[in-house]
Amino acid sequence: MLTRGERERYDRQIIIRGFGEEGQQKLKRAKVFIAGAGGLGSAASMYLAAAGVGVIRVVDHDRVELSNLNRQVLHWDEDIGRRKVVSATEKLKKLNQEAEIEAIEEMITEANISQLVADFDLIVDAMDNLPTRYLLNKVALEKNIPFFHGAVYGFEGRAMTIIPGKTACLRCVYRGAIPEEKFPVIGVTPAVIGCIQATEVIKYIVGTGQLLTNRLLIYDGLNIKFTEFRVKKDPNCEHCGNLGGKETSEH
Amino acid sequence: MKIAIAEISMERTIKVRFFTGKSKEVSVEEAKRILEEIYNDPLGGLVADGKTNEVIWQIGSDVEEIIVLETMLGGG
Repeated sequence: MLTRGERERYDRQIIIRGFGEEGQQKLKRAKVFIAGAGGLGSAASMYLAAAGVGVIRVVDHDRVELSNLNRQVLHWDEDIGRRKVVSATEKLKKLNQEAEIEAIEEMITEANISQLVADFDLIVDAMDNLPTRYLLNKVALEKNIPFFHGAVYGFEGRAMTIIPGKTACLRCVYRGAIPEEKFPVIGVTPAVIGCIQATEVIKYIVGTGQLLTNRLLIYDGLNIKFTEFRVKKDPNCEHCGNLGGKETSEH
Repeated sequence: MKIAIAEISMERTIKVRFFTGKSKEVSVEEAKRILEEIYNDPLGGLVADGKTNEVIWQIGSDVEEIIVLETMLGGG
């Protein structure tokens, strides 16, 4: 049941066809896990908090640095040196006091990932390295949790939604071991991709629209061009190959 | 009157379109080399069939064009 304040706050999205109060209540009940409070995590978490997602858990082990501020809009000058999860919680609470924000300052590892995502409905990939993305992909498949991938490089970004057992997973697309390196990025790129991830999360929770499954969306900011690469579920995939299931993009 | 018929051998070529906008026409061997280079240099690059936009891991006999996404996979 929505309160009067909630009806007013979310009025403009409640009146979207196919959304309604029912959709808003689904968002209120949802628990979203966001891996990373950087550029992608900033955009995704802000729009999910603003949209009325009930519980958002943000996990990050870093502290805010000056070089983060061109893109990580949750963190400001005054936050330099502070823990990113603390800075993120403060901003998200200011944005929407109704949202329950859980901040965990930990590095995501194989040892703790299962516990970190336990009881959460969805996982947002806002990481900056492929090994952790693979861990997230694996745990999402094991626990049957929808997984929302995003990545950026310079003016280019990528996004894809993974529904365990039904659609192609991250490992069906990326098969190598990509090294962790300092990469170039302009702040607007993670904003675009983080917002696409948030859009996918909202659509999944509400149960509306067509998800970005079996399609890798490529955003080219230099030419303002969106391209889709079709991705097939790999029956021999080392992460999802044993899950079987018919390839589908259904909610 | 005699008619001379010349035999012309047509070597199969593949159009390679880079995501950044450049494109070129190459031999099948060269296209295979480009694909291998993208996947052997593990930076997150991808190759797709230009006709279907499907991510591919080898140059099949029906591939006429490939799209090459060279850039590395970054993050937040």
